[in-house]
Amino acid sequence: MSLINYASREINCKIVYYGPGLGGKTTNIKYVYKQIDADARGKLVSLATETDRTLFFDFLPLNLGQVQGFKTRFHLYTVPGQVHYDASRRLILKGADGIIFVADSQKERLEDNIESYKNLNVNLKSQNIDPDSIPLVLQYNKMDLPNVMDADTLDEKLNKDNYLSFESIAIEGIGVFDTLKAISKLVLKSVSEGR
Amino acid sequence: MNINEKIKGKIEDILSHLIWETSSKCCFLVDINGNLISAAGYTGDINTVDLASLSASHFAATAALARMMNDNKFTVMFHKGKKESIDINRVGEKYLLVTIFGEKTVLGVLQKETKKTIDKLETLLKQISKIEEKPINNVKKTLSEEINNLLKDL
Repeated sequence: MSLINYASREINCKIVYYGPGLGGKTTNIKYVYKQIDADARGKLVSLATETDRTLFFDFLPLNLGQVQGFKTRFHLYTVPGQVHYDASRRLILKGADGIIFVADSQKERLEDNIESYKNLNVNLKSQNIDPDSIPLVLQYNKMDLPNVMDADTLDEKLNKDNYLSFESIAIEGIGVFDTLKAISKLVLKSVSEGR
Repeated sequence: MNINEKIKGKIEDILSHLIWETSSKCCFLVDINGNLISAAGYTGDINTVDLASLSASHFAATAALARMMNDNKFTVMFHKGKKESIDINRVGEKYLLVTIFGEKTVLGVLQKETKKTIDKLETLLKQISKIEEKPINNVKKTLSEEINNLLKDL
């Protein structure tokens, strides 16, 4: 749930990158960090293993500017994707205002994507968040690889609820900001209208 | 969660009093989702946004461990550093009080004053749930345009 501070006229929103391990969640957030002006962002905090796999989360605060007289700050979090870190994922979903589901578009990862998407729904419910009402967008990542499914097929397999979806090559930055903009818009509308 | 001017001022007074009584360096009220609500004392080189996020996540992980051990009573975390230490206490169900202190602080005094501070904060924070203001009372028609402008540089 967003924090609305009337005293300092600030809205804080939490956006979580979710998805299977090695899908590109951390790559997304690292690209955002590199591209955004230093005065509009905080430090990138990464709690990772020695081999750079996310152990707990990555965290990046962004100050975007004003909407309807309120300063808006977005807190971007990633979750660890590996199956056995489920307890950590649940903790990070606590209080989320919006989700970016980063799918790995390679054919052999389809089952992992489906599994992770189901896991997202279960974990949202465990945090008392209604999966049908939280703003969510999908990102089909690694579209530069040869063995990927096209976006229509991925939509058919993963996106039965017709959420907005974006193709991406996060390592080159393609699609990273389109996805972030889309979820930011949905979250800000939802928060501003008091939903 | 919504916070207004009156409550923010009262929280700051309570936190400042804790600093004064315990000679701590600074203290913070953070929500369990990792948002910083208020800070008092000398925050200097401390990145308060990161501190809020890390404290909340750390506490959440500890609480999950407590549940695994069938103990819901992990309410305090304490980490001793060479020069400065950190004390994290649960305030009600939704908030954390984070205090950073050095050698000048007497631990017994800190514990006693922290307990008093938590009681005061719990009473005050109950009022937060009663604030029902919406972020924008009448959403202006320019909302979509404003959001587009805000995001155009991304």
